[in-house]
Parts: sequence; structure tokens; C-alpha cells
Amino acid sequence: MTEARELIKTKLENVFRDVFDDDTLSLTDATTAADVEEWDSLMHISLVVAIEKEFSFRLNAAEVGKLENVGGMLTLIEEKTGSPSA
Amino acid sequence: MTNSTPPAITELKKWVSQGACDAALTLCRSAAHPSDDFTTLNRLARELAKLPFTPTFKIALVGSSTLDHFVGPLTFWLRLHGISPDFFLAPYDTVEPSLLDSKSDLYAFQPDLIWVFTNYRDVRLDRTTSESQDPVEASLERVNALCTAIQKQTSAHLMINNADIPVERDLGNLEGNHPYGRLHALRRYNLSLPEHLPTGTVIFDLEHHSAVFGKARWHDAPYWLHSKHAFSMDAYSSVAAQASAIISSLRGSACKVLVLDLDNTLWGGVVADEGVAGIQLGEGTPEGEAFLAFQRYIKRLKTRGILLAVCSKNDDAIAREPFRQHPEMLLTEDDISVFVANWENKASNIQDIAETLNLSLSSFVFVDDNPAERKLVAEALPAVHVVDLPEDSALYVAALDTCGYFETTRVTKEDRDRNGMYASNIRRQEFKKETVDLDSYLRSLTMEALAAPINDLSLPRCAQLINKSNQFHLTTTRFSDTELTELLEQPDIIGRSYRLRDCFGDNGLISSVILRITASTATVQTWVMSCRVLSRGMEDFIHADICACARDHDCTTLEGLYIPTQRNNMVKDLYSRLGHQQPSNKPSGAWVLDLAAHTPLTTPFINTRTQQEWDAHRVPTNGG
Repeated sequence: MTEARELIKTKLENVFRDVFDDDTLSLTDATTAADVEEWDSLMHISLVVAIEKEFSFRLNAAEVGKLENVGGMLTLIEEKTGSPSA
Repeated sequence: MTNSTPPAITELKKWVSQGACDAALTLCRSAAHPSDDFTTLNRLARELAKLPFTPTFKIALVGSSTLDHFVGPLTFWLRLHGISPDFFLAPYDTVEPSLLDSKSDLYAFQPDLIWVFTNYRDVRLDRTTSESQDPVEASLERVNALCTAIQKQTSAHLMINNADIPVERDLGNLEGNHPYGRLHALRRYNLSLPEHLPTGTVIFDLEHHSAVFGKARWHDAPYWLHSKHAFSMDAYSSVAAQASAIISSLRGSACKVLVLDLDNTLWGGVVADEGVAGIQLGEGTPEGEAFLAFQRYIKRLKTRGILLAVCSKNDDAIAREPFRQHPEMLLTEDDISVFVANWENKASNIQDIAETLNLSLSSFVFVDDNPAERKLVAEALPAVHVVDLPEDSALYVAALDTCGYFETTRVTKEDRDRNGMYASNIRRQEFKKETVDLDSYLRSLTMEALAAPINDLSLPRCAQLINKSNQFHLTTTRFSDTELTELLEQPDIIGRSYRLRDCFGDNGLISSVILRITASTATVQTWVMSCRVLSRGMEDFIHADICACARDHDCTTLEGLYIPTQRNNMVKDLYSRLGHQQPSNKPSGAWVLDLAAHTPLTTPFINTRTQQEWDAHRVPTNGG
């Protein structure tokens, strides 16, 4: 994993911990809604609000629908924030 | 970096883990702000939600958008206002089915408040019954029919949103100015909505809140598209905070008194140091204009019925100088119901003011530029609402305005006259000090009273008395307008209202009674009276009228009820004093009077007037 992606992952993990109120929560690329107990469609929106705030961008409807696993999220955030994927 | 936990959250977690509810609420009051974004507010809301509470107020939320995320912020702000809510969330987009079916889950929930959470999209300007019908008129008729139908099903409070007008304008600038424009139509809809809704319906001004929040941010197309949120979730805190203030007012806990500091609060500078000529007030300087603007706002509050009091650390004579001598001083001594300038501590002064006005401290708002005084009052008198005044006087108006303490769902004539009434009352008290004994005082007041049935004209004021009074309220019953109207339509119910005036002015409608007739027993189900007129013989006058009403309905027994609360201790011995007995075979709180053996109380100092006499002879309303 690149350094930039690692940094985004740390930030994203903190967002998850905050939204799901669980300081022990840890993420891998493969983490999906099925792995986090409270991750339902409503929490998904709370997560979207928090991600948009943390990374200062807006997601469109298609992107919101695509955020089904953490790996996908990291890639999307990299694209949206223009982090170099060196 | 990104995610260090804010100190307020850490502290809140501590209070929550200790189950320290009061400390947690106090912390949240200072940490939370209506302008907080969703993520920030939700952190606080989630922590506070871990403190369990027993719901005492049931709210049904029904709308055509996703409202699930709104429940958390609304619960949070309601709890800060002392309301413990329970929610029923109607399934997404089931407004009509939920509200029109008397057997729906919504009605089974038995809500105390139904909030029809509409947005501009619900004003269907494309739907008319005929080509010639005005689409705005058609929308208004639909919403009227819906609200009328709801009121037939339930006597719960009813609140409905107006239209949060969108920003896009296909006609450009003409959109708002041409009858063809959608913006023009929605504005017309909002303006006409109040007169198209049944009495008692509260309109939640979503349009105002969208404008204050900023419409460009409020209208959030992606969120409508991907999850059907009607507007930006970052506005939830602000909407929930405002709604909580309104709901609190519906529940009868709106504030009535504004206590003001003087130096650097009503004018810039310290009058004792700088003299009347040296203080900053009035046109010409930014500081002077800021204080003038603050006084103007306060004057408007006073005009609509909020009582003003002064509480200043000053010599009385010096504190009054600007009122008497400064040409730009907008507030006058007559505007101030109680004026306290001395060197005592402010908490005990505020307590004295509460006693003078006979009002509960929880209806008090305190404004002082000095953080130390604010802290002292907040700690010594936790019931008093203390405004967190910013340092810049230009921001005083906004600070007082956004706190929402003076929310009200109606303004009655009594509200507008209230200041005059209290001023007369204080003159009455001073007069009382001068007169030698109570009898000669009461005689000199030349009181006149009128007893009358509750009618359409007096009903709003009666409902207000019943819902806002806490102290002289024997059973603390609360009724919405609709509930009261329905109740009074029942054949076994008698509603009475009482007015009082004297040589100092008109006290207005000061008491209301609801009697229920069951066979030969008349039960006083509700008796509420304004504390302003205590100990002047009105209790006896009203009791005599109640007895007469009961006799007119062939009753032989009069039963009075007293349900104790923390606030109505002052009337615990009322029925005993009026000659009622507490029989052992009745539940405690039921006080019985045998009408056959009872001689009606006489009220030698109150002249009874008929409606005709009352209307014919008007006393001048408090002559300044």
C-alpha cells in the first residue's frame, strides 16, 4: 500500500470509529457492511456525511451506491482528493 | 490531527458513565450550538442518548422525505429544553395513508404532537382540479383538508412546515415577480398558509430556517437523489433547536421575563464612572448604534408581552439617570416592571424580582455582559436561562434572538397589555405598603369582576392560562385549542372565565374554570388563576360563581380536585380554606363541599358586574 493510501486509511478508520462509536474498529480493504454490525443503510448515510466532511469533497449518487467495501472507498477517496498513487 | 476527540466529548462521556444527568445536560447546553454540522452535533447527541430517560412527550413525525437521521438531533435539543420525547416515525412517504386512516399505527401511538414534515416539493403546483383553478389555491385547499382531517382524528398538537422555497429560477429575476413564476407561487403559498389552516395548527417556518442557514447550502440535490433527504443534514441541528423551543412553548414552558444588566449591556461604558454624557448610546457611533439596536429589539419584546426587569450593581439614583436624562435612551422606566439597582448579589436580587412578579424562575432569562455575573446566576439559580452574550455588542441582538427562549405559538391581547398590567400591579403593591390594613387597601382598589362562560373570543386566552400557568393551577391540566373546544362542546362540561379590573387598570382575563357535572355532583376539573391577582378576594368570588353554576345544574355536591406538583404548592390548602372537606372514602386530593349546607362566600370588596355593565363602563386602562 502506498504511503498516501495508508494515510487515507488511517483517516478513514478514525471516521469509522467516530461514526460507529467504536474505538477498537479496524479496517482492511476487504471490510464490508457485513463486517460492521451497525452498518446499515441509515448508518451508511451518516458515514457518507462524515467522509464528505473529513475529506472535503462531495459524492454523487452513483458514488454513494458504490461505497460497498473499504478498498473501493480508499480508491474513490484517492481519486477525489487527487492523492498521487505513486 | 484528524480525529482527536473534542474535550467536550471526553467530559460528556465522563458524566454519562457516572449517570450524572444534570451535569451532562449543563455541559451539552454550553457545548452544542444550533449551527453545528450533523457530524459534530451527532457526536454529542449520541453520547447524551446513552443516558436513559422516561419519555413524557410523544411525537409522530410524518413526511415525504427521509427523517430517520433527524430524530437524534431533535431528541437531543428537546432534552436540553427539559422535554423527554418518544418518537413514531411514519414509513417513508406515507403522509396521507398515515394521517387519514384512523386505524393507522400513527394514531395507535397516541401522539401528543403530530409534525407533518412537508417541504416545497409537497406543494404540488401541477395539480389542479380544473384548468381555471389557481394551483396555489388548490394546494392550500389540500393542506387544509389534511389538517382538518387530522384534527377530527386526534386532539394532539399539530405542526406543519411551510415551503422552503428553492433557489433555481428558470425565469431568472422575473421568477419571483411574475405570477407565472414558481417562486412567486410558493411565496404566495407561504403567505396564505396561516389563514388556510384550522385554528391551533402551528406552522413551522421552514422557509425562514432555510434562508437563515443559506439556501445554496440548504438545498442539497445529491442528498435528495441518493437518500431522499429534503435538505442538508447539516441544517438538522438548527431546525431541531428551533423546533424544540416551539415545542417547549406549546408545552407551556416559554419564558416570560427578561432580566437586564445596565452598564455595557444596555449602553456602552459605566455610567457611574463616565456620567450620563459619557456613555455610548444612540446614532452616530458604531458602539452607540449597536446598543440602540439592542434596546430596540428589547422594546419589541416588551411590546409583545415579555416583562422587563433591571438588575444592576449600581446606586439606584445613578442607574436611573440615563433613563431620565439621556436623549437617545429608548427604553423608559415605564418599560421596566421591576427596577433593582443595589450592591447585593444578582442571584438574590433575581429571586426578589421573581417574588415581586410572582413568577417562577424557570420563566426568567438573564442578560449580562459580565461572564462572572452570568456564572454566578447560572450556578446559584439553575432554573434561570442565562444568555451567553458575546463580547461584541453588535452581536447582542443575534445572541438573544437565536436562543429561542421567547418562542410563542400565539400573541393575545393580554400578552400585549401584560407589561402595563404588571406595572399597575407594582403600583398596587406600593399602594398596599402605604395603606394601613388589608381591608382598607382592598376597598380602595374599587375592584369590579365579571364571570362569564368561555366563548370563542375568550377561548384562546383561557387555553393560554391553562397551558402556561403552573402555580395557581389545581390540577395542572393542559389542553390544545382543539381539545378545549371539543371539551366545551360536551353537554356535561361548563367552562367559566373571569375578568378583573380596578382603579389602577384592567387586569384582563385572569382565571378560568372547567366544571364537569355528573348526576348531582359538580367536579372542578380545572381551576387556573393568574398569580397577579392573588389574595384580593378573587378566589372567593370565583368559588361563589362555581357554587352558583353547580346549583343551576341541580347539583348538591361540589367536588374540588387538587393534584400536587412541584410548582403548585401555593394552592394546597385552597379548598380547605374555602370550606371543603376531605372525606376518608374518597381518593386523596378530592375535596368535597355539601352545597345545601354551604353559605356562599361574600366578597365585599369586589363589585360583581354583568356582561352589559362590564361593556358599558370601561375604566381607563392603566393611566400611565
